[in-house]
Amino acid sequence: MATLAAQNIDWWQERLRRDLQPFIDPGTELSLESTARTIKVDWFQRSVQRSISVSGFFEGTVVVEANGRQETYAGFFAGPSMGDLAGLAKMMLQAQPKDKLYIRTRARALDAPDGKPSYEDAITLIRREIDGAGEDDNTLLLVITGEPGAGKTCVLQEVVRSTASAYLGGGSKHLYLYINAQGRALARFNEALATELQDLRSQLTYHTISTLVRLGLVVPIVDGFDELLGAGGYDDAFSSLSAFLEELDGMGAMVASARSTYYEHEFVLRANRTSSLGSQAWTQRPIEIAAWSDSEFENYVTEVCGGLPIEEATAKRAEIRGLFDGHEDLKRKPFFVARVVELVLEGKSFSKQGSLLERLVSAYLLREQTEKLLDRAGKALLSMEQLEQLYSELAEEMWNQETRQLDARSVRELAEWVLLANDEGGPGSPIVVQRMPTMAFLGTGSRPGSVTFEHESFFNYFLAIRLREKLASAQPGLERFLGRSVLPNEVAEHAVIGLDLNSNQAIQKALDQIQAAAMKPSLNGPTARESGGVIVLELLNGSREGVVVRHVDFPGGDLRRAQLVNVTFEDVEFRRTDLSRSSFVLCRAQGTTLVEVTVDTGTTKLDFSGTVDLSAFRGLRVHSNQGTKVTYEPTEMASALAAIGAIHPLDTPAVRKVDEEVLRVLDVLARGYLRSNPITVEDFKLNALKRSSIWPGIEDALVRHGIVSPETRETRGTKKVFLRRKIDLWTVIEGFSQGSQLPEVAEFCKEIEAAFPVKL
Amino acid sequence: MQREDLVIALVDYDNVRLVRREHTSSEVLQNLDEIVERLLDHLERHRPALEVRLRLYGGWTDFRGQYTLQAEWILAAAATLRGLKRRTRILPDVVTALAALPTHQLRGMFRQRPGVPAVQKMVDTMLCSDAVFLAATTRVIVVSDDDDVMVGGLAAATQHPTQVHLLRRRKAGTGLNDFVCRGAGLDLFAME
Repeated sequence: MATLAAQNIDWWQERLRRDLQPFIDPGTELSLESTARTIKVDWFQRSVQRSISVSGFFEGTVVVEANGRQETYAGFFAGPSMGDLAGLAKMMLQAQPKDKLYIRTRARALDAPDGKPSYEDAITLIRREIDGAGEDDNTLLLVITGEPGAGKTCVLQEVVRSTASAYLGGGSKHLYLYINAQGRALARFNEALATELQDLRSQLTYHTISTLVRLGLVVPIVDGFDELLGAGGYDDAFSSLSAFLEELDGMGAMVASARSTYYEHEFVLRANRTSSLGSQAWTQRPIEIAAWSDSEFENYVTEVCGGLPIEEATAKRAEIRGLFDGHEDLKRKPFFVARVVELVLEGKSFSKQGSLLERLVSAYLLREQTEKLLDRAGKALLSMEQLEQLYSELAEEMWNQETRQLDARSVRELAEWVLLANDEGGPGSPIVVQRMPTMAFLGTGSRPGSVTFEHESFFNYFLAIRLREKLASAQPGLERFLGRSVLPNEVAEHAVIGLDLNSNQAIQKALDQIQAAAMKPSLNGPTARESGGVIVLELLNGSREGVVVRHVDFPGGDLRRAQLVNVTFEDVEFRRTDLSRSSFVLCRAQGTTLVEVTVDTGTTKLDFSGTVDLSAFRGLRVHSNQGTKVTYEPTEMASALAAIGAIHPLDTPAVRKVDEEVLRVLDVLARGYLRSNPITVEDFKLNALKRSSIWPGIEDALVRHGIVSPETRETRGTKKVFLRRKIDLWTVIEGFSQGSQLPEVAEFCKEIEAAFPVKL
Repeated sequence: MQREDLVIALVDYDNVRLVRREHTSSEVLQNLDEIVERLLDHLERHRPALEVRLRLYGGWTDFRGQYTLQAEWILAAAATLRGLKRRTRILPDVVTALAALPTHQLRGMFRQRPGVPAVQKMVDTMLCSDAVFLAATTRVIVVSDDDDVMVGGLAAATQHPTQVHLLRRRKAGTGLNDFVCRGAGLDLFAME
């Protein structure tokens, strides 16, 4: 972390006021008195008067003197009378399950300076990135992405555990605070943070945490960041996270995990739109958790069978490999592999039917039913169907409560409900309720008696059963189910697999049902449209003909397997959807927008029968052997879209009347804002701006027209001018060829066209 | 009795809580729990619901937009309260923005100056405008003893008859305008 640098007395007075304010008793005031080199501060904390003297502003190390003891500034806030980080670390270690399975996982930084990211140990990489926070003068937001099952949550929990242990041993200067936002939806970031602090029995509050984060003492880890983004029509929930980022004032670091890189872009898009002060300052760095490779799978299997006699080990290895034959995707998921291996080593047999996940679940359920959930006479308390129903009820209730753990009372009510509904409310009922936290797939949540799914793959599997039932029998309430949060792709995938979709009529029936639900007016309408879109993506991935898709949004995802003929899209938004292998033939689109969709000029076919033009596309991701390039440049977009048949070759953008160098400069700036806001041209990654002779003129016009606003920030001893983005720069680039409804952009383009006309 | 899918309860928290001074999060939870019990009693007597969205109104933000201490307590208590209770799903939400404008968190819902008693600002008006907005799509129960808030319930009931109940500690018939309320379709109930 960056060290605290010397600043002037006024700056420190303001800083002390801000840092100490959350610790003082309500209704009392902080008193500050300063001399040339010292600031004396008094306040009341838990009804006790406290007094400190702060000095060393010009010597490089700021020192706090309290009760005759001298400490560094950060050390004072970490101490037992303030943040009590040692106490917090102890509670974190106590709160971690003792038998938690952690499998070493690899990760890579996607924005490696040399452009060639390489894999390394995930925990080492995260720690190194966080230790380097502060280099950009902005709050570092480390965004961890990875496929479901790749091990994001396990890695993050292990970072928390190992760092807490290191802190107590003097090996770390900060702690990670795990905030489980998975399924939080409307509960929001602030509730998630308050809950975690309460669970840790910490006396810290929401606002004291922001002080500790600014000081680099605590690094919050928000697991399930995407679910915060995806709630209440997005901006509702995001505003609470946004407000927290504002409190950090460009200092400290945070870690956030999300299902896919789609949510990184959503963050960038929304970050300042929902800012009430417009004063967030962040830099985003993406890290991808690697799914397992073949060799990691092999090494693991070899290792776990290592202790067996040679012949048995060979047989078990062969059995495990055989189970994963044709299931390459599941081999990539460490947790899943570990669970299959566990059953094989126990000698359990797998059924021959269904996917490997279904077979794994069946094997576990059978073990549960025949060996564990027994009455005193050894008779099974529940049938397999009842057991499956119980798990599905649990998953659905978690989804409905917008959480991923159920409190003891909810578990009891739910179990009794299920057992009574099945005439099983007899003497076995309390046994089932009591054993639930120890049953297969489940674990104890962070609160006494609470229950959580051991892994999100199992939660997704059982939730999918409920979704499938709703889709198959047209059960009411689908709109509220879809509006809870954006549905995980895995849930939609499992649910659709079990549906009877043998004809286009059957597909249309399912589409109509989803579309009707997504259209119903409700507070969570935007979320329902996206969840609907997640299911529709699954329904369209195949050969489909003559169906109509209406009123949904596709939040990322892919249509790579889609072979669509004569399909109509009405009121649909594609958002960064991967169409790199899609084939659309004789399709039509009305009121449909395609935002940064990924296409490949070699493999994508996008025939909309002339019903769309360039204006339907907002940016484009063009995939090639060299990687994926994002472009908003209208000529480039028109050329790529014409090549894949999406628009007519003559549908070219209006001729621009501006020097190409202007567009190049704006492109550099727009890319800069993809990772930070505000940005400074002192950043070496933006050297191209400083080198450009026309940049000063463009900067001046951008500021005058309110597209960016300048601000001077003092962070590490030197003052730097930052430019805060107020209007999306891609919109400005589009403005040169397509015009703009925004007066600021229209005026800017007019002025720049006059100042930097096309060079003949 | 057939259970309704969803009811939204708008709770004027400081007005209806029983313990007048709260010192800890557990006291807040105790108060919240008591309100929820009374609300569930009411629902079970009239029309039970599968889910209650509990929107909690109070002076939750200071002039900088920071949560007040009471707001921090109620956030933690709300998380504990979330769950099934008497077969009804309780989903609490600490309200700092209008339902119609959820992206804009309001500042200064709690004002405190030395020597001047602390006051809540905007809270009643937020609750009233949310009642009108939410009653358009969902049954709404306004939980408050405050006549200022009763006006919001009245406005909502006028626009969306049969959609709004007013639940308060006082008995029906004891308010100055109870007759007007009944005439306008705002059903009044006492927390028992």
